Amino acid sequence: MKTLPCGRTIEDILHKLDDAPDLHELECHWCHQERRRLKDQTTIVLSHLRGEDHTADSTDLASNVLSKISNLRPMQRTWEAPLRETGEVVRISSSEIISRIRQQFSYSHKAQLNYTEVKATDAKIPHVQWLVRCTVSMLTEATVQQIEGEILEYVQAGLGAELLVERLRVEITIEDVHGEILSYLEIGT
Amino acid sequence: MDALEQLAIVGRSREGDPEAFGMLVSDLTPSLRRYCRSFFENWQDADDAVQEVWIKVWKSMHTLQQNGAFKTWLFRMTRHVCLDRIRSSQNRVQVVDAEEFSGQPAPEHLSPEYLAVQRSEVERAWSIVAKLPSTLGQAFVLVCLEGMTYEQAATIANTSESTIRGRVARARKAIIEAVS
Repeated sequence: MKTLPCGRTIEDILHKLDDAPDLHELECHWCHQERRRLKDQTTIVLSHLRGEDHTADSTDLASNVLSKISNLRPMQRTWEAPLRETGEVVRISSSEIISRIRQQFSYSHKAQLNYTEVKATDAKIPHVQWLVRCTVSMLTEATVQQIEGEILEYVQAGLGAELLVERLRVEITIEDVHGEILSYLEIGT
Repeated sequence: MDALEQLAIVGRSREGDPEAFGMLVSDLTPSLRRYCRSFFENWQDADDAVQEVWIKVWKSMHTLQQNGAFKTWLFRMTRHVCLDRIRSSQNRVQVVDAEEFSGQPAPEHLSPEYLAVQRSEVERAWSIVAKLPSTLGQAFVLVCLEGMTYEQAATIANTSESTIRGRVARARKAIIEAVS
């Protein structure tokens, strides 16, 4: 274990290399020099590890993965629900409903729809009662109260454009830019 | 892909959107390859593991509870896949004894003479990482190469932040000794 003239060891500096220098390090030129040497030497290796040599390999690998995945379609839940206009019962998948809700959200300047989950909450078929879970990020300085009405409107428009909906509950989760949950609320009709 | 965009892409992938999932695959495959490479001694094994990871992830996207947890979840799953593959193929697992490794000089196979015969600078760099005890290499790749926080790396490696900090420091020490 090498000790610097100031009394600190190289291990001390290595352990704190990702942190900002403390007061001693800021004032100690031995520590300062050692920190720079350690950073420079790992930077060389890191630049090689991040090297461009394998970019093509990554692209080929990603293509292979995608071609394998194209044969593995996810299971889609389907629902029997009556059309609003005629009452005719149709089968509709969750992804179709989500796609309609997403289309509505594409008009929003206040909220970005990150994730949607749809399920019927009534046991009888055809289904007329629905739960929609939306996870959104707020795009502007809008308040939660301001966007909740808009979200309900979009979900109603997406779900109820063709289907007869007697009862709708919307659970809204608002997350920040890092995906941390900021708030959660339930609204419904 | 910025953080906000990634949240939406992850969310769409959870909904089963293959196009969105393809964007994740394209964006994150280079990172996953590097992480897997820290478990195996060659790119072929690493690439096989990456393929298995993505297929497992696609099949289990619906189990992800929170968009923001995706990256940590992905790397945790990657770690499990790599460890399973190592176990099943009887590949060499380098068991790290932190105390034993600490303070010892770099082993002979990390010497500049040995490394000089490596084909390229990139492979030389990877050979240095590959010769580290496995857990040190993994911690180094997560924190130094992939820019994860100690907290994220600790979650992925199922250990404490202070253990990760120690592993990264020891990895750096061994790497610096190998290149100097």
